[in-house]
Amino acid sequence: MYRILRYLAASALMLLLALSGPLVLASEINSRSASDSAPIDQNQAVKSLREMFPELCSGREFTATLQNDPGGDGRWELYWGTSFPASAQEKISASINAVSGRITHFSYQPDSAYYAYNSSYITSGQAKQIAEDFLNKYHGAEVPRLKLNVDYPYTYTSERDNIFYWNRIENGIVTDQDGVVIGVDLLTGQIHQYTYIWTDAELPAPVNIIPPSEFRTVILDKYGVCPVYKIPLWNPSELNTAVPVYAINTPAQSFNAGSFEPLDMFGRVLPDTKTYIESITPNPGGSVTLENSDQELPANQLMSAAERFFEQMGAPRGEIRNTGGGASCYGSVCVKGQDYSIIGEDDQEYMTVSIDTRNADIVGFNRHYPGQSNPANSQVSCEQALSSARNFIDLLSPGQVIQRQSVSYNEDNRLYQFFFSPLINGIPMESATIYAEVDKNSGQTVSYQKVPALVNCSGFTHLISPEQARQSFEQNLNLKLKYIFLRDQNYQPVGTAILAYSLDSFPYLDASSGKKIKPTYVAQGQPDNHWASAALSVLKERGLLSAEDLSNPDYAVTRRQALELLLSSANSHMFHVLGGSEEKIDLKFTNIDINSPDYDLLTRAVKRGMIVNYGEFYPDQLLSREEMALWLTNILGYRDIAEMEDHITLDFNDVDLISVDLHNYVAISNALGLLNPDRNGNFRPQAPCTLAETAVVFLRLESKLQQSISW
Amino acid sequence: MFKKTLVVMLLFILPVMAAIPGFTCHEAWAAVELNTNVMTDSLPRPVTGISEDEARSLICNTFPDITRNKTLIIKQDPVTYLPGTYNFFWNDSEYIRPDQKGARITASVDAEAGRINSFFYRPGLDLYRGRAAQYTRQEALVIANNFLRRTHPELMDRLTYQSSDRFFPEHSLENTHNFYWSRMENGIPVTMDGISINIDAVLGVITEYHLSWHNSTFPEPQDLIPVDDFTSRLLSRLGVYPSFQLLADSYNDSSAKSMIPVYMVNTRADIFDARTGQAMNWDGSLIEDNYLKAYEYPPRASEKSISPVVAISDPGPDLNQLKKTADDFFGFVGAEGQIAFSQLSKQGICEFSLQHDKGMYHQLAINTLNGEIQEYQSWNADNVIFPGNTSSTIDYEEAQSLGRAFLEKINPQKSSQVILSFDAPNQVINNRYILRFARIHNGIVYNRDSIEMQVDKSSGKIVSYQLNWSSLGYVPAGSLIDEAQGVSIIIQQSPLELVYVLCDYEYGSSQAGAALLGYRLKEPLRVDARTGTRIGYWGMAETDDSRLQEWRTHWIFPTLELLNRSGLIPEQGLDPDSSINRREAIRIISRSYDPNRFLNDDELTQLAFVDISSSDPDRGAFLSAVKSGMIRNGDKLDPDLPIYREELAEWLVNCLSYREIALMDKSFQLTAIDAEAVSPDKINYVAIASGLGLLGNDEHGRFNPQTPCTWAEVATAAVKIKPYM
Repeated sequence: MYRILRYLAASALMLLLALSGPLVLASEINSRSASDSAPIDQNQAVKSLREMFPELCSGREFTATLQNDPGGDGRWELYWGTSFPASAQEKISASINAVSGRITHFSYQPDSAYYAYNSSYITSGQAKQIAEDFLNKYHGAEVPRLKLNVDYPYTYTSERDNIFYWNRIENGIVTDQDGVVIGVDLLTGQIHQYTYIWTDAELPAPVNIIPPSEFRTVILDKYGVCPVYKIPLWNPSELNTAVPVYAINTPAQSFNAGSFEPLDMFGRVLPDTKTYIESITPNPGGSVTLENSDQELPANQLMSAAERFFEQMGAPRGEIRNTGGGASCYGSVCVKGQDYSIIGEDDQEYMTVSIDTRNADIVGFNRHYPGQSNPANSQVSCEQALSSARNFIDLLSPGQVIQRQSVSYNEDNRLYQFFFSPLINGIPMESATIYAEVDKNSGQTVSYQKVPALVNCSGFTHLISPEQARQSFEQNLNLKLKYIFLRDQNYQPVGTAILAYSLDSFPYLDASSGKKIKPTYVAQGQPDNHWASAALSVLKERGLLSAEDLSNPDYAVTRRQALELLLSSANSHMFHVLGGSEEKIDLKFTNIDINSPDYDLLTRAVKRGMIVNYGEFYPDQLLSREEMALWLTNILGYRDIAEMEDHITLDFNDVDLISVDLHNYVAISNALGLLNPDRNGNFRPQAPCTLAETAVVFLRLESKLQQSISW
Repeated sequence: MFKKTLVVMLLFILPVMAAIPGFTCHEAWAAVELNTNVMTDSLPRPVTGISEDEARSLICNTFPDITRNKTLIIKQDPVTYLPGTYNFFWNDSEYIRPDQKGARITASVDAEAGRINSFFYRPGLDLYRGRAAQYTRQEALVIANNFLRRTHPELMDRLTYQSSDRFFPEHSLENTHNFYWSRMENGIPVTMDGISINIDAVLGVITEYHLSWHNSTFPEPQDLIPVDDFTSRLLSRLGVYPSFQLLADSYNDSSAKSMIPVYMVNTRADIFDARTGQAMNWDGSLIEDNYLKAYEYPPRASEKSISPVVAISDPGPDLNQLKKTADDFFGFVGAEGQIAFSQLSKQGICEFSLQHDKGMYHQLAINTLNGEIQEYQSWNADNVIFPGNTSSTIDYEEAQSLGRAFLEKINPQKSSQVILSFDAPNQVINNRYILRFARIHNGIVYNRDSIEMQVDKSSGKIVSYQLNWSSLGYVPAGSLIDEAQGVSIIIQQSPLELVYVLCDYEYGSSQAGAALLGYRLKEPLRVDARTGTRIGYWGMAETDDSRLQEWRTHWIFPTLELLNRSGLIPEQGLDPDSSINRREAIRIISRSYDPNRFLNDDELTQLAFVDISSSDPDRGAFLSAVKSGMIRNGDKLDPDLPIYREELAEWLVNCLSYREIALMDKSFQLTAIDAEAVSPDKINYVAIASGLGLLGNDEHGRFNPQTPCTWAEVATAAVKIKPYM
């Protein structure tokens, strides 16, 4: 489940990366005359890059394209990559401000052999020191205006990088999104990622600022509080169960520090509304478990459901075609859908419906042709449209829902857009959304999307009252003063900033206790003196290991534990990309029946080619190191090679202890740097794998798999 | 409630499937008593026709050797699902290969008709290990014929084997022999209906089988226009037009030597009603006489040559000038707003966009080398299909005029180098007329280059423009026979054949499924405009097995036949035991995988070999080999030198993406007697290629790493790695 957090983190960082070029560029162009600014040439751009990353860029010939986003005049996009072999490509990409020559983004992806012989991780502390040295060297003048963001939820550890984010501080106040991001490779200590964002804008002096305590009271008075179900992103080990919290009843995250107006990310004033206008009455109840089944209905039933739906919608007669499918995934849980369209005589699609393949529920709908304009040629009112949307939802999703005001950037003045959340135990489940669009002319619902929760919801017997929550927020709600840059519709800064108060990352209270939510992902209790401490801490931060595990990482793992760890590693999506089978298979182990609690785990392992599907499998047995070699080689697709009659030369002292049929598996996993001998030159093939060894292997495997995905 | 019941039932049923004899194919299938209730209840069955168990039984009886002891599982894939069919699959689930190349069977059964529509079998890779192609096309045909006699005795007198001499130079190398039998009714072939069978040339088993057999009423062939008379009248009316034909082995090359001028019949129709002579579409609808021709005014070949476009050496982008060009263009199309530079690509295309034009969006691409408009698109926020919501204001003829005027304005030079094609006359998509102008070079159509436009039907505005123009070198037309002679030669070839046209179901025609008597234009219809000789589909003579005849008894003969089908046998023939050079070896091995696989990957577009010129006819093969990781890009390729066996091992291993293992710091222990002769950096390559059976030792146990490879060795290796691709 850690991958969700990492996904969010990656998304946020990617946003920064994507915006970095134009942001800086636009600022500089705004400070000059766009047409006066002659872009630097390609050679100058490459020279700048080589100066900052001499080791990685030396001797490499870059291809360059001059690019811009609306409002800018140019940035150089540099690229270098090996084409050979394609499956293990090494590449560098960078963005350079075409006016200033400043590097705004750099990323390096090593080839797959890069990690083969590196098995020692540096610690987070060492990585931080490397990042700081780099920062001092290239941003020395700016360092006094930079502050490491230790609270930032997306300062995180990825598969192999530690990423550090320094916020730009002006007048003692954080600027929104400006700063420096540096990612340090944990295996080599090299800097593989770098982003620099520095917006040129006029910053108002922080005078006559309303004190946070006073501001907090106004916000609480204005919006109040409400109980909602949230996925606990603040606790990566519990991401599969949403919990009830109290939140401020507003969709906004920031507010003008002078006027209290809610703001969006462009600095624009949002409609001043509560998230939930209707009242919420908690109804204590038990937990709600996600219906998670990989059973799929046959195609004829799905098509029949589509037919029924189209008939219900009064669609014109026509051919019904399957037009594709997809899946909504959260962690390892996926809901698959198939799309069906009804095609008119002119070969155009009239309507499309998405059907949940598990239960034939309607999860999406689009009407591609307009309905009849109403005779009066006047638009339907918002209330009428809302009523239409509710009727439509009632038809397709029986069950209680509550309208949710949302910050929407997809403005279409022909349509009303409505968001709803289902109510579970009387309170909104926010990670599930029902979205409907209503045509202003016809009053018809023209689009409907249902995004399921894909997590469980915990039950509760008692929640604190809104009044108690309000009191707790008075004590605990953190408001941070920051500069928000005003931006145009292309997200380009327009040269001015405003002061705003922003809610913290998790402005919630535990709805039962009233205690403020605090993130738990900050690494705690790492066994720093252990040889595998870095790898163990990474797994701990992802919620894959407990504190107890870390206290004794040298215990031998069972085959079940190793499989669980390795399969939960590498983000199951990696395995999906890599191959294997998505089709249903039956296990052929003579000692595992379908009621076995291990059935699903073993099925996943078989589907990914990690283990063979015959004979017997004993999940409770310990996993030997040579068996681990077998699994690793299999999953990387080298079984054909390992099974060859010719043996690979091995010079371990204890080579004779390796089972004859596993000799090449051991050799390959060792040659790829996944499993190494001890310092005495013994591979210890029959020794059981410890948790620490498995954790290290886990990260090495993940690195290799990620290489394959990058391709 | 139903959902839960179904899930519970499936949970119970599926694991016991393997234990029920009825779910696994056995030799004496018919004698096995089936517990049909279990399966029938578990999954819905088609409306009418045979049961699921009967369908499974049918597959097992039809393909007993392949399906023996395999459990066929029903699967309804929503994408391929057709009502009234059972789809089955079987996967070798003992070991799921991450590369998804494990053994697999899929089959589809028409429940109503009680017959197999399709069957596909992918044998496991272990079956191929170390084995070369050993079934000749003739032997494979015997296998296929025997299969037909056994499984479809009732159809034998209604099937005619279509001896195909087609070859497929743009496709990857096949390791199967493919055959097709056309359905005959009243002695006349039925379009779309027939049986195709692929026989694996290595294993001699059926790997693909398709049957298409529609219910229809076939009218008696009466009152038909005499074909000879009709042919003469039709050809005289339509005439021919000259067109450049690319040679088969130069699919990535457009230099003069790869193109020959041919005459083709000037029509876009394939079939004509055999009673009325009217041209028809495949759904039975008639084609208007106005749009029967491919080109209304076909060009005439001439030596009045047009100067080829001379590429200007990169002057560096002058953004201001380009911006002015964009400004002028947007002014011409009446678009107003703020021009924004979007990007300058490494291909020298500069893109601009225009915004705030009253809800319209515009994108423009300009070629920085010659200042030409490369592409233009405009759209608005309502770019959604609203059928029936538009009112027609211009007709197709007006759209043509507007298109020509637009072209004349923005590229007057090219406007005189194109001709309007009737590929899709009168066609309206998204309320837009589609116009396509083909390039003419020296009076000869060069169809690969074109200018395409879309004209808004309501406003008459050009909303899309795209210039596809290659750097075609100067290709002289040469001295051509005249058109009348071209017509005469085509008439002599009896280009029309009588067929039953099964009106296509896909277009929703009112005649769908009806069988109409029609005359179909046969392929090939190309006549070399220089010599008057008939030429094949790819501009060369058709596959000519005669050049292989002297090797008929050679062990490599089945492999040579496969290569010949892919156009990989040199026209002058070959000696399979002679050494092969690196160029030829790359040409063959790179066809083991899809040659188009890397075409869209633009991260590498340039070859870096100092000894390969930009006009090298094998550049496409070399580029594909580089992109696949088979060979390194750079230094010298030495295309004319021999390829040695240990080098071939390296190329093959790279093709299979095992390079990482070959480069490990550990070595395999080679068992070949001459292992010490293997270069140290090639040991693992040799070991892997040997271990996988791609290259073997000689009868003395020697690998002969430094021996030049023969044609036979390379050809065999190419077929051997094919199943991995």
